[in-house]
Amino acid sequence: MIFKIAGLVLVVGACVGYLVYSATGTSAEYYRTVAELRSDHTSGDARVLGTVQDDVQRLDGGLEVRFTATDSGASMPVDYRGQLPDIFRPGIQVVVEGRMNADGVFVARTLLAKCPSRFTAAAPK
Amino acid sequence: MPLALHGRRPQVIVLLAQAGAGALLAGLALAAFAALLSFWAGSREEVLLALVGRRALWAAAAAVLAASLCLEAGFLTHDFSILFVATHSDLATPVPLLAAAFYSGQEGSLLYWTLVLAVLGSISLVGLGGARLPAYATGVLATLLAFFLIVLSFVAPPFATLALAPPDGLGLNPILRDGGMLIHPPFLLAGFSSFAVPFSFAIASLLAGRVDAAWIAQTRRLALLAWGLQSAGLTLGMWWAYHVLGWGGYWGWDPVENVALLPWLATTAYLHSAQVQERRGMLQTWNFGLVILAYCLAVFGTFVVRSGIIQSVHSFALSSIGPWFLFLLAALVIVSGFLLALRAPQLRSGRQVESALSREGVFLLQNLLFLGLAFAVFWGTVLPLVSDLVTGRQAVVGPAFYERVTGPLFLAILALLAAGPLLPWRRAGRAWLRPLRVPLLAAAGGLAALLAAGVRDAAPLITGPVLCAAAATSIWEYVRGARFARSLPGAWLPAAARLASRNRRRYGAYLAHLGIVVAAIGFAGSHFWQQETQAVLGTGQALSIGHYQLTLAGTETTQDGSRTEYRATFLLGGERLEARRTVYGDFGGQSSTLVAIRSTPFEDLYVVLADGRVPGQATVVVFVNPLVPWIWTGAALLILGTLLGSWPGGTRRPESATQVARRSVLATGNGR
Repeated sequence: MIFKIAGLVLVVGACVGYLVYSATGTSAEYYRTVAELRSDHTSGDARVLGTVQDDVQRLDGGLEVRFTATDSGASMPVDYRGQLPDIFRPGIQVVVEGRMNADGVFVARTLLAKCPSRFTAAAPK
Repeated sequence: MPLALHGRRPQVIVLLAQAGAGALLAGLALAAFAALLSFWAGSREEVLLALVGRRALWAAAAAVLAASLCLEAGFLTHDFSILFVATHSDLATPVPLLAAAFYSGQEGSLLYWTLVLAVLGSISLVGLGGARLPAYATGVLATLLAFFLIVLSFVAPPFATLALAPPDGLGLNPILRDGGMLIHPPFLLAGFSSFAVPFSFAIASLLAGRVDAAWIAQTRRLALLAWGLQSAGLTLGMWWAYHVLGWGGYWGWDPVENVALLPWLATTAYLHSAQVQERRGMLQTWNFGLVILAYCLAVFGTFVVRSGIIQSVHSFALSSIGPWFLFLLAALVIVSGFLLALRAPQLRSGRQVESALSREGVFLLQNLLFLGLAFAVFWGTVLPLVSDLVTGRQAVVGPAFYERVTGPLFLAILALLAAGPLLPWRRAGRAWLRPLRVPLLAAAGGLAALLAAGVRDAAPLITGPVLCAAAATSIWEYVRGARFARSLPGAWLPAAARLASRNRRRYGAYLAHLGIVVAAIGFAGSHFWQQETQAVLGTGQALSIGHYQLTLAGTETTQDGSRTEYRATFLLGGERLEARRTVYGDFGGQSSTLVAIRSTPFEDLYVVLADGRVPGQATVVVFVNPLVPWIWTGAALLILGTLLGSWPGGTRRPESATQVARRSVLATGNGR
């Protein structure tokens, strides 16, 4: 009987392992830095972390935004179509997923805002 | 009034901050004393000293409660000399949200966590008889409490003060200024924290090297409590995300959500395999392992959330407490792993699972699937760390990964939910198909209905029948009970009520199963058939989605100080819907939405006013979310079933430890 249980464990383990392995292969994306993307336009889909600058432009009634994202000195223009998270504003960190187009604009499919837990007001400048 | 208070205020300020910090230190001393004394009393089987240790833990809990009251008093009196109060509230924060501000940041939420640990731990020890096991449980609880009090006293102090109290605080973030903030975090934090209680009981059993049936029942009840709290916390989190955040969904597979799910998955497995232990005396080591795993995952989750080590939408500020939780996690894994290995030979029972086609066979498979789910979610969550170590670059997986992996596993679990309760213990024998006729018929009916409704996609065509079968099994148990009650002499309804109340655990469990199935129908429906559209509308213009025709009736903008409120009114047939968006100038233009949701039993129309800011126009994102109300209904049934199943029975308590000790002291006194 102990073999039957071991068999069960093996079968379930193999199924889970296969599911995890195949899904990781097809949906994993790499985090890139802004500087890396700037030097290598041709790299496919990427996830990038950056800080939203003050130049946010709202187009198409707010369904599209353009802004500059910076991270440790490097910056890139980002174009995103879709619904913005509520906490989106200049100064916050966002994670954008998408790819760089030929003009060097990062076209984002998704935009996630990092939710600051130190829920503090913007410091007066 | 402020002037009158002005002269007295500094005095009060000093009192609150120092009293709170002092209470935490007193709690730390008491908890450390309780831990040392209890372990010693346990090893020597000294009943009286064990009771003193228990009282010391209760006193430590009282100290934590006093500290919490000091912090809350600081919020209510706007004592901005306390840094945490100044950075998480302001004079304008309404009173109910001042309660929520308590746990809206690192230090306060840790204090709340500690409070829950202290209070639930104290309650779990009330009236426990015997010397060794309760003493060890007290010792483990007191050790954990002492750990948290060290962190609160020296690493993340909630009572840090400002030399000069500012006239006003910074205020609560707009996203948290919502009623959901009052109920969602406290439940989730309480759930996380409460996994420590069954953990302490499991470790106590391992330390003592023996367990009795009553002790197992107590551990199971505590695990059920923690599980119920976590279920409520997860549901409220989904409800809050859906109703407040305005992205049309309820679960985003974010690391912070995942780590809240992990201990829940492990405990779900335990609640099922615990029955194999109770009924057949098997799987003891395995069960202890699951309880320990659940708490380790809860601590892992806290570490992930608090250290900011994994990129998350929710990430807390980088802080110095991360390494402390990593240390706690490592200590827990090493100590409990060692104990488990040491005691495993003693806990082994001679019995074996006789057949896979039996209740225990299904429980075993269910356990493996739940652990598989937990592993998959864990893997997705830590992948950035693992890939960073291996390749030097961080890889991440999104919702697509989780949907692909967890979908089939959830489906297999639901199939077991349809079959398991109908299979007998030990072995089902040749006639195993007979009891399964009800769910099989229901599955066939479900498939026919879906085909008739014109569904041709494979995924819903597989999911639908499995859900029908699972629902049929859960309901069938009630039908069987009702039939049995009918066969009894006397009136039918009172007999059924008696039957249900005598078998609370059983009927509670089937109600919880039904809740899971109903919620799963909601998850499946909104996953397979969600529709979304976006548009910029002028007044009088319309958009259509599904069978809805939505017309913009008008827009309105109002200004209130630095706050701008945009409203859009829509006409849907004769009904009016209003969606709002508030932009907070003082929070750098951050905004919050008020989603217009029109709910019917079968679908939600979900209208979000996007951040357009064009006068006279409304930018809208509209979703049709099928079956989402079923999720909330199912979760309510699940909680109801948990309450029913865990409600204490009418059995008499065994003599309490206090009574035993008192008697033995009296006896010695008399004998002298």
